[in-house]
Amino acid sequence: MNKLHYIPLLLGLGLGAFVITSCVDNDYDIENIDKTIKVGSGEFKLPTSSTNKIKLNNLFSLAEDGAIIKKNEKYYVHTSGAADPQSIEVNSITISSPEITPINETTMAIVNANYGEDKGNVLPRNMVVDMIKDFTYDFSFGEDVHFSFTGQDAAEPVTPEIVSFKNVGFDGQQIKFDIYLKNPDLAHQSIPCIYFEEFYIDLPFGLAIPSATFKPGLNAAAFLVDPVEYDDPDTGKKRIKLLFYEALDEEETESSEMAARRVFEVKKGGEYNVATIVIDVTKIQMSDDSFFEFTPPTPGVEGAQGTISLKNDVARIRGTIRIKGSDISESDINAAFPPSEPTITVSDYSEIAARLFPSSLNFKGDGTFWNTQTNNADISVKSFSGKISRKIDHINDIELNNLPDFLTEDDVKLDLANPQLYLKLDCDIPTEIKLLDLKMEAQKQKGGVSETINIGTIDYTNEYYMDGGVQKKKPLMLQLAPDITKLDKPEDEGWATENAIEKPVQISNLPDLLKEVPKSISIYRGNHEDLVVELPDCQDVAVGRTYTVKLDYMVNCPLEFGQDFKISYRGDETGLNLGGDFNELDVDGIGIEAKITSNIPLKVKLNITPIDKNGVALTGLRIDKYLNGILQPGDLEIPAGTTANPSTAKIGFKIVSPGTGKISDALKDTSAQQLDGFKYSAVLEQGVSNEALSPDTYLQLEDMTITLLGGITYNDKDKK
Amino acid sequence: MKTNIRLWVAAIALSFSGAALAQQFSSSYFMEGSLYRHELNPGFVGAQGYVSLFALGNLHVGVNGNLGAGDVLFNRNGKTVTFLHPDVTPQDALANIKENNKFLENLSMPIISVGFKGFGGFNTFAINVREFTGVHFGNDLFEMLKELDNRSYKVGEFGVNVNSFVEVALGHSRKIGDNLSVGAKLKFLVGAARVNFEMDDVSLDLESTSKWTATAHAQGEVNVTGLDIKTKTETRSDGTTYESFDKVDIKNPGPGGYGFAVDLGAEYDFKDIVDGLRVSMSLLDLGTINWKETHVIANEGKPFVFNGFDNIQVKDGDGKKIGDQLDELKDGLKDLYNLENKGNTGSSSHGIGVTWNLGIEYEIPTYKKLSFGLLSTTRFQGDYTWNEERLSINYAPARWFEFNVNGALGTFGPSVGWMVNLHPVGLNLFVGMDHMITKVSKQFIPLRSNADLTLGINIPFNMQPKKTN
Repeated sequence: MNKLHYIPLLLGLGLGAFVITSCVDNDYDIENIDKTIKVGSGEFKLPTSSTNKIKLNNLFSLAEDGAIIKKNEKYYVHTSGAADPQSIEVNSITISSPEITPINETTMAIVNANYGEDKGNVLPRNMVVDMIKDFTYDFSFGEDVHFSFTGQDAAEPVTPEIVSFKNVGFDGQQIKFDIYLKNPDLAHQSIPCIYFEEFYIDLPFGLAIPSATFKPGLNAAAFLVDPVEYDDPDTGKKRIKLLFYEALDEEETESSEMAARRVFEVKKGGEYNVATIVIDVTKIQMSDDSFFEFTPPTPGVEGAQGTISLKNDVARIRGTIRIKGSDISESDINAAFPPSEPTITVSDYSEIAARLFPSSLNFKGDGTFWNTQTNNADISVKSFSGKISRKIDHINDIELNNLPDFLTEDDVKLDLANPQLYLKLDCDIPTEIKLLDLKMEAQKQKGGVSETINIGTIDYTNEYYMDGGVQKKKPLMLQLAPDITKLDKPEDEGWATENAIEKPVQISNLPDLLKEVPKSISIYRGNHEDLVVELPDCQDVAVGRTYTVKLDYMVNCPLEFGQDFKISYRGDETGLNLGGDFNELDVDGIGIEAKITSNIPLKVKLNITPIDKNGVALTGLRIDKYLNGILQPGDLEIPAGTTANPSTAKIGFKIVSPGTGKISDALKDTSAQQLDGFKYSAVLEQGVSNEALSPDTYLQLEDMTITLLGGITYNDKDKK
Repeated sequence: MKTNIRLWVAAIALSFSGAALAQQFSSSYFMEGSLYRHELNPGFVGAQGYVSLFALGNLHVGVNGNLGAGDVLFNRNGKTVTFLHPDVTPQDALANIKENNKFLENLSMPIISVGFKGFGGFNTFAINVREFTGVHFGNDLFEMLKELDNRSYKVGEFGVNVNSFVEVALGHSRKIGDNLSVGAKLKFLVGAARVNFEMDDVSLDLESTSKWTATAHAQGEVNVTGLDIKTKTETRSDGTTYESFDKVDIKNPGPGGYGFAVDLGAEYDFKDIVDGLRVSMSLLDLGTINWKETHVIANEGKPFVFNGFDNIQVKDGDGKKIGDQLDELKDGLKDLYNLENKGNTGSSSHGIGVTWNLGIEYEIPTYKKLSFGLLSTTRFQGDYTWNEERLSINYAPARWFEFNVNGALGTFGPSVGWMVNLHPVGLNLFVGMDHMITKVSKQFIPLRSNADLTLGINIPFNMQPKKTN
């Protein structure tokens, strides 16, 4: 037991020996070792690496619906679309209440105007007083005897507007009056001829009328009208109708009778614009039920005269005046009448309609002036033949949307060898069509106009084709290109040429339109006016319906470039977020060298800049660029190559610190400017002539070495 | 303060984890009063019979290595830094790093040890638990880390060896004639476990800019009876498959193997020629253990070639993504150390290492309390071989008390040792060190990898004979 007491003694001796025999070296403080380490000190190269062939097809990252497509191993700028269809609304056309009427229910009284104090109650001469039931009265109406119409002074025009009746009165034994145009000097411009569709004079029975003549116009031959007795369905009494013109079916509007019914041609001067109606009256028959009543003269008084007056009846002039074959210009018509007078208006002449029917719109053709109903004398146009100058809304711009990044940079020059622009015009009015003074204007990406080209007036005549037994109209397909012998139109749906009227138009400066990669292309007329579609030869176009003008466009430009061709691929990769990893690491620099091969037929200029999170170039980090071993102050220029003869160059990047620091200083969280990514660019320009950009052209990095410069230091930040 | 405590706890734990870790206690070689000299040379005839206290007869704590903390730690600008610190030049950093660096741990713990006179000589019986652990590696790894350059690095070999067994030793020594004494020990060995893992030809060729090549041949042997290795099928980077190990279990454990070994020793007193001169020599552990089961694991041994990243996919091209290529690189590197279970290849025999001691002692004839000794020790154990030349000054002022101081040069560098031995009748108590801890950090952590402490308590049966001048 006692021996066990030696155990602690031994341990104590041992530990004591351990402590006593050793000395403490304060240079070694294991508890506070600075764990900063540095691996390597010179240049350390990783084995060479290579990339795949970085094909343009992958580099461009073309979107499915982008404006760049590849076809037949070529790239095309290709986009298509349609401007909003433009309507040509041919509204119902009504000329409201032109005041041609009324000529209705007009009571005609035969009055001895000379009967009175001055001239006495002069009976007609040779009046046989006792001839009550059947007498014949022959006399010539004197100047002082005339017809008057109820409510109106016979001396005043019957109608105030286009047509007036004048000089109504007895002339001997005739009732005579004239029909003439008011203000013909103006009216003749738009109303060349007046016809009667139906025209008759309805007289009370009792007048013996052996003949009635109608003489339309001063130089026209008169024709006779036979009086017709008929029973008035309203009163049951006999009446007399002088039917000058009888209504025709509408289909007969062009019959020869129309010409015969011309009342007169409207001519300047007025003296010819008169139609004369002469009704011979040989006697008046009176009886108890006569329309006339007779007041005998005072018996036994010499010279006493009786009177004849119309009893409760009227003489009516009825009819429909029709104007045919006129060029009616609304503005002309309106100009023909003073503003104070009722104007001729087009129904629904709204603001939109105003654009549809501007002052330049003319329509020729038949218009029918209806005058069959009392106080409803509107003139309606059912169809027209003539010319339409249709100003249509500003059509949508050709938008070059979905352009890949490399076409949206400021310095991009889309100098193309043979760009092609297709416009398809489809108008369903069956006529010849003109697009007047067409121009196109390229709108820059950031506003402003880069180029304007003049296409001129495009016209064509409709053609038709049969599709399943249905006749369809061929649209016009304008094919604009600098070289129309090398058109390369893709067969997109709706752009088949067999059912279109192809019209190649050589536009030598079309490339200029695209050179600055427009945001959009505007189409307009002349000096930035709305487009005008002119339909110069419309035939019997029905009114009251909507016609459509449709304009489709397709841009199709193979990327065959000219000398100014230049595209840029710029971008940045950010969000490296290396700070956490590099807070404790120091790296002097990193070098990258590689052989680059290019068969892209354009010179490629490469650049790369380190940036911080705000996109600002770093001051604590610099990338030196080398080409074939020579430091390059600017871009690295890789010569253009071809498929048969790719170009090669040796490029190098050295990421260093401009000062004495390490590049990792710019990687740390504590850096005022911490590396967050790189801004890079690849500019492709100055291509090989007659070459096109192909999806399979590529860049490739080979023999690529990455060199760590000056080793890697891990900093024990606790010891800093 | 807490850190200090932790460091101390760690140091003490290290000490006891290698309880009785021992090379041999060379300081005792020329201490005639030391009861365990026969462990160093069975030709020594013991002067005192003894019996050891259980497990405390010859307790030795220590490790040896030729690379210490002081070799890889430096003071620069008042700070303690590692050899990889940028302020440490490559020359300074690599100056103390050897071509073959090794750390050794050796356990020889007597459970019971008895020595007694009889049969015309001195007899010993001991049951010892012995265990050896060694780690070795080359210096190119350090060079590569420090200087990382585009050149070829022969990292060389890396190995770990663990060998544990129990020995039952019977020793006898006697004097033959007046000058010679000889002795031998016969040891019956019962193997517990053996693990040997070697990576040969580890090289990394970074010289070429077109390719890097990494080579490593790795093989491990495990000699444990009843070891049950569950396998699973793995796929190499080239698509071939192999059986890896999944789980390790031990079924029906038992002795791993048996073997025999002998220790031989002799001492000759040249007093007839030079009074006081004695020369001794011993060969220890001449023997092998035949292990019943040998479980082998090995890598494929093919070099891994990295030709750089070829055809890196950029912008969705036809190439291969850099991430995938990095994965392939990692898979290829993994193949270097992916170990295949080759299965139990049956029995195998392995030596336990041989120690050769050659001692020359000169005792002052006119003052026999003082002697000088020179001990040359070489341990032959493959990659773990070491050598040491130790000079001792021994002084025994009384029959029951002696001490010495000594210094050594060798594989593990210079060292200074000492021993104090008290051995009156009925009690033997000794303490000593082969490798004094000459320099420690502020936290008392040795800056060299050589440190040991030996102490023991035994019960001697008789008094040390008195020396006469």
